[in-house]
Amino acid sequence: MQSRSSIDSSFSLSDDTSVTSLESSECSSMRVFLIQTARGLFSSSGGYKANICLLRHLASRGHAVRQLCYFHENEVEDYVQKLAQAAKHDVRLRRRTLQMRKGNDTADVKVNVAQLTMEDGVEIIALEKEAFDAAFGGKENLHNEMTRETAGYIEVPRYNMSQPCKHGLSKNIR
Amino acid sequence: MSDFVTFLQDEIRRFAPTHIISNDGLSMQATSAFELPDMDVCRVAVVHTAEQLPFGPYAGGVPGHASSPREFDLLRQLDGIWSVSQAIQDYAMKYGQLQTKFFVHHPWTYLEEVAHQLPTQMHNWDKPFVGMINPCAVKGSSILLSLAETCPHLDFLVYKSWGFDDALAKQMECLRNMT
Repeated sequence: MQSRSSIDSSFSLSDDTSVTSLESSECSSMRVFLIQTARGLFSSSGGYKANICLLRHLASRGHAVRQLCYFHENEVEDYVQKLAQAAKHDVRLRRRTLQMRKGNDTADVKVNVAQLTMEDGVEIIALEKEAFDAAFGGKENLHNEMTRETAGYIEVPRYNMSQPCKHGLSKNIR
Repeated sequence: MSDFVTFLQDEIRRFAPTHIISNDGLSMQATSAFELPDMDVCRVAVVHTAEQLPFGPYAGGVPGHASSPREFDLLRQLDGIWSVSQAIQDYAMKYGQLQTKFFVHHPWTYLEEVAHQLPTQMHNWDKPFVGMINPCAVKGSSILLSLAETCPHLDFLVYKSWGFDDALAKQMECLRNMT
């Protein structure tokens, strides 16, 4: 692996409230965005653990690291509460909602999104697992539906995600 | 799915990464140079299991991975592919002629989380259960089931994770020594 780009000073800073000092760190720092697929903030998945341990180490060395992941119900609240009680880490929790349309044009699903920096320096953007799964037909249909929609997204080469068509995706006009 | 992809791409643009790491086809497509042509970023995939790869005898063996044969093209467009074992590196070359690089996991993966020391010895040989985390076909659930049938005098305990499904749950319900 090699770093293709060195960061110049003109990259745009986030306008959200969880920006840490790492975002304005030295130019030699890396900024690593990792996309997890395992479910749960503390998933038992070996892949999840290997990924987050890499991020933790990079964070400890001053690099900015952020991961997209999934939380189970109450997992974020429990984590924040635990840290507050231990007075170990001042967590700034930012909440949002992601509106997800289902592929079959039924009612939208509101997915809670939590953004915070963990005590180990790893920034997370976490989507509520149960609601996210519901957007793909729920637990029973999740794998089949995600596989089907992912295949459609990958195999139809020209999408423009901002212009939805009948099946929830859209043709790319770039 | 389009809403999720848009969300993911917005978050990536906002963060302005130098590196993007992913391990599934959806993420590879959503972060590809085709989708994010304006981003000068190093794109890396980590291959944790052979089942992640869209070719060879294990293709599609893990739910949510290898959704399309075209993932092969996405892999070839990456700046780097990290195989977590020599076996996966060999598999990628043998079945896909795909060049990857083998790196061991970061040592913290195997250590306890706070002080990064060797995990505490549990001294749990006197505990009653034989345990398995994430029982599923690819991890040998058939061996566990057979063992539980053969050893009714032992108690078994499983911890469900991504590979567990209703079919396996039904098989386990039949075993009185399985929790």
